[in-house]
Parts: sequence; C-alpha cells; structure tokens
Amino acid sequence: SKKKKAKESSVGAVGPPSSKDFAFRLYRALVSESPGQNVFFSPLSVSMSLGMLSLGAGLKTKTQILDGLGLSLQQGQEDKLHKGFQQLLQRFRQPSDGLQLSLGSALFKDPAVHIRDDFLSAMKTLYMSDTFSTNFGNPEIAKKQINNYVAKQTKGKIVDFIKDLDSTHVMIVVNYIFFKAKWQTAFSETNTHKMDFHVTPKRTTQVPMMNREDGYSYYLDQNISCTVVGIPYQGNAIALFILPSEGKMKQVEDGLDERTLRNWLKMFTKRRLDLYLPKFSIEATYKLENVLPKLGIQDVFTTHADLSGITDHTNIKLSEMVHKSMMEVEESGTTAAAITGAIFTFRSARPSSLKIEFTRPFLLTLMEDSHILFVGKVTRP
Amino acid sequence: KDNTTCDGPCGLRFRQNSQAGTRIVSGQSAQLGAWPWMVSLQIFTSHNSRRYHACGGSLLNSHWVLTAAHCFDNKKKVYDWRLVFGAQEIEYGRNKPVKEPQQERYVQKIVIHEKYNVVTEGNDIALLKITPPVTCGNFIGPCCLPHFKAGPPQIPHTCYVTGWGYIKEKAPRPSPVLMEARVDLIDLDLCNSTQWYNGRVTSTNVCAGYPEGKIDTCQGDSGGPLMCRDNVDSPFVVVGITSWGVGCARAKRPGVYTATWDYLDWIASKIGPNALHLIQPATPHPPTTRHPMVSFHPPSLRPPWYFQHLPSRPLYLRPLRPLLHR
Repeated sequence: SKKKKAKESSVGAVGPPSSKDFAFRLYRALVSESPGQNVFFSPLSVSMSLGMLSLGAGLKTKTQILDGLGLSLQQGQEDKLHKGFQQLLQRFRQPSDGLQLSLGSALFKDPAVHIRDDFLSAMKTLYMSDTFSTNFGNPEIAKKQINNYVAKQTKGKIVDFIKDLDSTHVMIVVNYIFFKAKWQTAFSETNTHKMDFHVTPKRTTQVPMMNREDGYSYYLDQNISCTVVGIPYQGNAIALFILPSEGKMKQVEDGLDERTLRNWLKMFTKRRLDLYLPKFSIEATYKLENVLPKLGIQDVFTTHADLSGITDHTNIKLSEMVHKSMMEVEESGTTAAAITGAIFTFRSARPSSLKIEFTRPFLLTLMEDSHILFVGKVTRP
Repeated sequence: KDNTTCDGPCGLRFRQNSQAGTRIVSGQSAQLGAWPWMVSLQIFTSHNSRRYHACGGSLLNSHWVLTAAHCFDNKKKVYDWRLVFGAQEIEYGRNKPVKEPQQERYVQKIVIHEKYNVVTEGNDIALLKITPPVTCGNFIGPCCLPHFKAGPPQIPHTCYVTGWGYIKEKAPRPSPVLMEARVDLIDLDLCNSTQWYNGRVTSTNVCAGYPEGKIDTCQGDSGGPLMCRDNVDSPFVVVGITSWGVGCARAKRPGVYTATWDYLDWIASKIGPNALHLIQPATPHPPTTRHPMVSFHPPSLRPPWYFQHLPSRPLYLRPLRPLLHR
C-alpha cells in the first residue's frame, strides 16, 4: 500500500494539490439549488477561477477561498496550486486529435476600476486570462461583449453565455468549459435507437440510446448501491457513468466523494457488458455567487471583500461569478465501432455479457488523470 | 526415462494423428498424449464442488502454466481455480476426482502481466504457479518456448492450435474432447488492414487462421497454445497464446494470439532464467539430451496458507508426494 500512496502523490504533483472534496460539496450545494433537475459543472474549471481570484485577495478573503477549495494557507501549497493550474492550462491548450476542450476565465470590470499591473500579469501568465473594461451601465452592450467573447473562445459552442445582467455590476468573473472527445472505441450509429428513459418511475420520455457490447471497466459498489461503468476517451480522459440502484439516487449522491472515485478506478475490472447509454448533450449555467457561500466562500461577493491585490479601490466586490459548462456524449470514437456490427471478444468460455441500461437518472463524472473535469446528474437526457 | 520432474526435453509428444487436421472450429479431436503440455483451467464453484472448463494453458514445468491474463478478469482468486493435466476428455461441471492419467492441481499464485490493462487490452499473458507440483509422464510434459534468437514467428509457417473451446461460434458449452486444428500464421499488416482488424492488433500479437475463416479457435480456447515447428523433426514451439477474435472462424477475422517471444524476459523474470532455458530448444535443432541444469523444489506437505482457512470439503487431488528429507 506504500507503493500505491507514492503513486497517487506523484500523480497529484503534476497538477494542483487535490482539493478536499470541493467537487462533491459543490455538487450537493447545486443539487439542493435545483432539485430534480440536470446538474452539470466543472469542479476543475471553477477551482481555477477561484485560484485566480485568490491571487488578488487579501488575507481573510484568500483564506476563505482556499479553505473552500479544501486547501490550507501554506506558502508552498499556494504556489503549487497556481503552478499546477498553469501547467494544466498549457497542456489543455495543446491541440489534440479528437479532443475539443475549451476552458478559461475572464474578468470584466467597470472602466473606472483600475486593475493592478502585477495582478494582470499574474492572471495572464498563470491563468491565461483576459481582463476587459465593460460599461455595465449599458447592460445590453455589456452582455453582448461577454457573450461574443465566450462564443469566440469556445469556437461557437457556447453562445448566450449570459442571459441577464444587472446594470449595477462593477466586476464579474466568467468561467466556461466545453468538452467533446472521441471515445477510444466508437459506438456504432446503426445500433442507436429510440428507447424509453424513466425520468421518474411513472414518467418516461423517448431518447436516442446508443448500444455497444464490449469489454468495459466495471465496478459494482455495494457500499453506496450503484453500478459504475468506465469508458475511456482517446488520450487520458475517462468518463464514469454511475447508475444508482433503483431508488438509491439520494444515497449515492450523499455518499460520493473523491476518495470513492479513486477507489472505483482502482477496483475496476474488465467485464463484458451489453451497454445502453443515452446519446445526449448536457449544459448548465450557474451563478456561483449564490452557491459558493454555502461552501464558506462568501466575503469575496460582499462588501467585506478584500481584493486589495486586484485593485486599489476599496469597497469593491465581485458582483457575479458565472460558470457554464457543456459536454456532448455521442457515438464517435477513434477506433471504428467495428467492423460491421461485430464484436471483439476474448476467447475464454465465460458467462455471457451483463446488460446495463442507463434508462433512469444517473450520474457521470469525467476524469483526466486525477482531475475531475466534470460532475453531472442526468435526470432527463 | 524418468521425466517425473518435468525437466526432460520439451515438446515431446507421445501420440499424434497421422493425418494433419483438416476440419477447435472445424478441427479434429486430438489423440490422448498428442499435446502433453495442454492444460485445462477450470473454474471451481465451492457450493457444489463442480469444475467448469474456462480456458486453456501450456505446461512449462512442474511448477508453472502459461496462459492468458483475461481468463482471470472476474475470477482473480486462486481458490476459484483448478488445473487439469494430461486430459483428452474433460467433463464440464464434473464434481468427482479426475481419472488416471489425468492429474488435478490447485493454483498457488496467479501472476498477471503488470501491464495487462483494462483499457488497452494488450499484454494478455499470465502465469499460474501449480501446487503441489505436477508429475510429468507419458501424457503430461512441458512445452517448448521460442529461443531468444528466434525472433517473431516467421511467415509462412504451418502451425497448430488446440483446446476444449466451442466447436462453433454460439456453442452452449466447451468441447468435451481436446480438439486440434492446423492454421497458417497471417502477416500482421494484413491482419491489421481496414478490411480485417483495422488497427486493433498490436505488435506483440500474432494472427493465425485463414483469410476465408472456417478454421479457428473460439470461446474456451483462450490461454491455450498456438504451436509451430520448423520441420517434421523439430519439436513444436508455443509461439502464441490464444487471446481474442471477432466471432469465430469468420472470414478476415482470424484468431489473435499473444506472441510469446515478446514476453520471454517477462517469463524468465517470473519462473527463473534456468527454468526458461530448459524449455527453449536450440535453433534449428532441438536438444536431444537432457539439460544438465535441474531445478527441483520439493513440495511442502502443509497446504499453502490460503487454503488453510477454507471450510473443509472433499478435495479430489492426488495425495501429496512424500517430502524429501534433507
């Protein structure tokens, strides 16, 4: 087990120190905001934005942010956080075959607010972020400016980023992420058919359902009552689809943490499954200034904010922090699904495939190395 | 010749069919003693003490069996498995002891290749430590592995596959008799071409079969050997381990095997270089005399620790051989 520990910490050393369950505390906060709805966000992207803000926050505000991320305020660890994000962003900016990943943050502020040069340059070098002067007094134009920026950054994938904007704003942070990648092995489009999805035990809706019988990473978690199927993307990313046992959604949601995820990755066995998975695209927008205070990150959004590292203006706060994430799940993969509907099979005489159907609300997470790119709940695909 | 320690010449056959097989899928049944290194890996179910054939394997010496890693995907525990040696006929779901000349053994250790990976599907190779060690004889003997200098299997080459696997694609259960079939090695580039496996085959695989299909390994043959010989006077050498395919015996979907030559160092690191050396015939001619280096470890009388905690149930194994006094 010593060996395993060494391995884990070396993985962690590549990126920022892994935050103590920030992802799932935020998940539960978002679920309680919108019960019964789809939930979808990027813990990685949100923590990057917060990391960026912490660069310019004074002691108390900064401590709150880092505490919320599950980090303690130690010089070494803070440096490691920023450097880790910088390396990740540099890596994600590399063009990669079959992977569309756009993520970033930007700061929009009133022209009257002067941003300190050292913050601007740190933001630029560490977080590759831009700052824009925006006249919030004209919300329509400000909104257009922000939405055009995000649309351009995501190559048109995320449009209408902001729907309404308050004219009293002085400074907002936007944070976006779009992800689409090819599976290592494609699903065959000819196998995709409409199937019933049970939104609730009594209500169904028809969704396009992909199907592939193949060897998958599989784990049955009897502890929190769910079945986990791991499907690798080309490259390092893997999507985990989590199907709670009938009636156990709440139990699974309450039991999820990062340790559980890591445990699944360790416990996965390769198993032949006849897998049915909806083809869908999921997106969600959150105003995090309403949610993060539940995780203890509050001062930055109030008049108690200490943003002395960002600007000399006193009494300035962050008016809004908007996060939007979007992901598409479809058939395409690097390797053709096969060869005219035929399935690759190992030649041991084994019991036949286990049928797993994601035909009721499920959870998903997308991991890239040890980083949690997305967490989501699909109540209706 | 006393060959009970399994350290005699490798690849010795005791009986063989006079005619090459023409018809596993479309094979013919093998003679008892034709493939003395052929092992049946059987899943043991404790509630009824029955054993079910799941995979094949090749005997390397009295301590080790070579097989495929994926056989253990859902059965990773040593006490899930039993090994049957010297068999021509096997009974699926048997709960009685095996009959002479068959021998049944436990698995002491399952050694899966460290890089066998749930994602990449490569490195489909594993070794099983036999306990207590098996006794060689007329119907049980070690296989040969390629010499380090041999290189990847040469094409063209006439080879054989053997196993108790399905005799057609959707058979209900494994074959009760050991089947053998002649197959050709297939060029890796052809095997990986778009109309064939389209890049799915790795450089440490061997493809074998026929472009038109018809004769092939199938479910239940995994882990068993793909064997080739240079000429009629040379011993058969296990060049591949049955791994996967698309369906069985389909055109342009030949059997895909793990190439043993690429894993000789790995095998040596597990069973010891001397033990490997003993079963590598010098090229081009096989050794005619016994190799002087003999490594034989007397079995312990005590069952291994992991069996000591199991509830007692009848064990249908041959009695342990007497402990050598030192």
